[in-house]
Amino acid sequence: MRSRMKWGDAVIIGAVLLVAAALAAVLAMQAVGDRLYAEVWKDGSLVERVALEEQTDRTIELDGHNTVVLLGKTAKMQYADCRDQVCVRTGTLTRAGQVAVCLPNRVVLKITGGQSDIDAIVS
Amino acid sequence: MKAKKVSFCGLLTALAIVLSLAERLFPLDAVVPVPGVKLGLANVVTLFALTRLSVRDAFFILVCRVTISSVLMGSVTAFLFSLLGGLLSLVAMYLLLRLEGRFCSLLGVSVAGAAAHNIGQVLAAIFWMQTAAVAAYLPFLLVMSVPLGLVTGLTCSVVLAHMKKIEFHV
Repeated sequence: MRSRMKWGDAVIIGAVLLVAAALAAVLAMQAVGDRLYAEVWKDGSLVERVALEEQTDRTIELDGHNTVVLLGKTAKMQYADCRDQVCVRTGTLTRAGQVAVCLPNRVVLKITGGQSDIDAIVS
Repeated sequence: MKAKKVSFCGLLTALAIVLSLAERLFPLDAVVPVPGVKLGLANVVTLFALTRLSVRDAFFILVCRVTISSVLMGSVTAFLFSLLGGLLSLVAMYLLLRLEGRFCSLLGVSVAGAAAHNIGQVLAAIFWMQTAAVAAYLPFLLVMSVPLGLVTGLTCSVVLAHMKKIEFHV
């Protein structure tokens, strides 16, 4: 059997996991800050950037193709008219760095972290 | 001899298409909470073609498979993504197969192929979406490519063992 594992297999698996961990770490570092913002991107440009507060309650319609619901400090892709429904199944985003991507419609819903003002950086 | 090889390539292409269609009946991302994650059974065919045929045959089977399944499933985006993922996977597996037996086994080759496939798909997605935000999926997809690559590699190795037993030659 050609599936008898060798030491190189451990190297390959380790390398894949290392790249995954490094990328996750880089992405996590970008997601710092005391505030959350929901960003809606369409065709590579920013459509909306909304600060997420406890009382946030907004629905954003994108030409009837996608519906984004911002509720409290969460965001989710409520509806998409594509057939794969990957973005809808991504579910509710609650942390900075999370994204829901609708490839067919070229829509990205993303939560980013951010500082509320200069004072926050100083403290 | 040539006709036999051509028909065998056609057979493998058909098999790859059926595998990717069948795979859609069991959406893995309903079980594993990673959106868009797939088992990648069609990669078994690519790996098999690389080991038993040539890199050229594997390339043609891949391009035919991606083109035909994109037409069948009716998605333009899927074509771009599968093609770039498939090509990167093919290159990674071709290079590692040269070291197979000394450095690694078929399982390692398959894991590297699965990881390369995901990297290719995410690159295509970044290009298509014009934003790097899509890269947020990559860590999860890469972690998943380890168990999924092991499964496809094991499948291929079982098939190869059987082919050897029945002394099938192309």
